[in-house]
Amino acid sequence: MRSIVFASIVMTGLLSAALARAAQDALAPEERLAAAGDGAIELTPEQESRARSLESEFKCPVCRSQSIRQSRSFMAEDMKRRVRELIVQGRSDDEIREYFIARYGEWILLTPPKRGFSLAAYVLPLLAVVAGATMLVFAARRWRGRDGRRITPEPPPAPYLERLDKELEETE
Amino acid sequence: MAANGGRAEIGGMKRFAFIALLGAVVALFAYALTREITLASPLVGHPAPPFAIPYYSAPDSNLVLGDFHGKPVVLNFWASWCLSCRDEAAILEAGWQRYGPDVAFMGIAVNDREAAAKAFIERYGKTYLLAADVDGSVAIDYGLFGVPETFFIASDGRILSKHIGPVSSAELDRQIVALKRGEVGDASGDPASLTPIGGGQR
Repeated sequence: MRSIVFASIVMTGLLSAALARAAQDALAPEERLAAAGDGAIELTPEQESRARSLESEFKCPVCRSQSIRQSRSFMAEDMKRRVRELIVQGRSDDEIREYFIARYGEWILLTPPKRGFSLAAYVLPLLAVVAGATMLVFAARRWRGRDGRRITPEPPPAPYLERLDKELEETE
Repeated sequence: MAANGGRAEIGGMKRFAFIALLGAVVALFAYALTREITLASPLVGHPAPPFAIPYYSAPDSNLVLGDFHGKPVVLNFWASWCLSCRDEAAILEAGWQRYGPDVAFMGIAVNDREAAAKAFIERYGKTYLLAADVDGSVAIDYGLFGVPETFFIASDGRILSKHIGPVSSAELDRQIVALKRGEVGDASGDPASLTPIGGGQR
């Protein structure tokens, strides 16, 4: 048991050292900005609004569950810079979407397109609601009885009713 | 009795319909999840995006993909901070020694410090064409999810296939045979073995 704990501690230490070393070898944020020409791309307010809207549409390849606008990963920062470069070049929103789809596929879109297999994401919830409502209708009809009348419980046997009346009278 | 039989038959059909529906939903999820992790590149079959980035051996001159038109290219994206890139470093160098110069081997380091990349090159004795994608623009052009990723580019400049994760010697041989024949393949490899590019937060 002690040897397992010891081995775990050693392995954790080695892994942490390797990860720390890897972090040192990757470029620091300021170095990347310098390499990208300060990363400052001047946009008009209208272009800035377009950039922010487009950045919210693309999935971060590193985080995957976040948009590149939400993510602070290096990859997302590079992609945001590319969106802005393409806007400055005069590309339309659709052209910028096509640019990223041509490289990453439709995977890159946070909201799946309403066609092909992705259409299932829109259709299935509606089908589920319809199926659920249908099941509820059938269940309600069964509860009401086959001929549509309410099912009334059988009256209790006479001896019980007599005893109930008697006890009620005693209580009063 | 007949009514009971009919009711049992309806019950069986309901059970079958429920199981069929459940099976369809499970199959749909399985397909969606499989589709997610294959990370197949839409670039396969299309012209490789051009680039011109500085060589590590001669920072004043650029590695230009267009200069190699007419020759098959093995284009590998790597980083010194990527642990799984170490697994394939010797394999790629051996591939270059075996198939070069008929097949051009290129290595592009992504988001790497120059000193760390050069130390990695020296440690693993890499002698093929090595250049730096410092601002990450080539990584985006090739739709990278992480490193290592390797693209196999035909002599006419089309991407024929892509390998995700460290490439094995046998896989490299197989891909180069297909590359020389001009056969279009698709993504291979294991997405789980990719190291995210700059996954750390700023």
